[in-house]
Amino acid sequence: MEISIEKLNEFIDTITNYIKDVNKNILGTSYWLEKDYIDKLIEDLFD
Amino acid sequence: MNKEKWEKETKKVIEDFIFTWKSVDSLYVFISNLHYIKESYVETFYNIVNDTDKIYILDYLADMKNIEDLKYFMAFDKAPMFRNTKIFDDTSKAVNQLVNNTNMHVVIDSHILKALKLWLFDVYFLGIDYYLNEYNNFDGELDDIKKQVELYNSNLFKSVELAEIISRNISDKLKDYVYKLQRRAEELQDDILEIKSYGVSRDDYVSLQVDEDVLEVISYEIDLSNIIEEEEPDDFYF
Repeated sequence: MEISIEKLNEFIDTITNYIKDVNKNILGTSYWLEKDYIDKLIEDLFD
Repeated sequence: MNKEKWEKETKKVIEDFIFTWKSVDSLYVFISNLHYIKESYVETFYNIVNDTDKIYILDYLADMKNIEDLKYFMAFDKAPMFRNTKIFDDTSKAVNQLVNNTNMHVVIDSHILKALKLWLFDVYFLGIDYYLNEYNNFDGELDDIKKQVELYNSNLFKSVELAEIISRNISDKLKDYVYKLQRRAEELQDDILEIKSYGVSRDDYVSLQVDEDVLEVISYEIDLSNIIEEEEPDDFYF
């Protein structure tokens, strides 16, 4: 079982793009993602 | 340097700033250039006012180093300690006030102030993106995660237990990394919102952005024709 660097980069992009989107829509949105959502993203890396 | 060349160079600095204010670095470029503008302003003020104590703000602008300085600067014209501060639309009026009003302590060109506020508003929109693009490695932590992934993929030790340990390590590091990203973004957001509270509004930004005359206003209203007579700055470099 492998984690491709490509998938890892996709993971990083997903997080950073979310934060950038929050920055653009500055009012009332939290930077903090649900823990379960992050766990699922990391779990998917190992699939 | 003669007066015409000085004015031309000064305009160029400000024009360059307007066209290159796309990143956090552009502030530092601008401030470092402002230092040289200041040198000439100070030279001029020395000649006319002969009172160095009245030129605080010009010194302060040139000495700004970080976002804390910027926040302080943005609030300066509202703070009680600066109740004798005035912002003028043109430099010759400012100098006249300095000469004729002994209670006046600080003077600043309103267009330089406007340019700085515009930059700060740019940070408001672009600061976090810039940070995420340029500094998302957190002193090599992202590189370290990638090395761990390479180790995991290589499966050098053919050990299931070791693979599990490495995968747990990768998971933990990724969670920590995501936490740091979010935490840092939140801190930057706090800084930016504080700056915004000092009176920079989106309406200001939009109206100035679409106004084609802004560049001319900022560049050409720094009119030194009534100030510099025969004296010229000695050491003024770009």
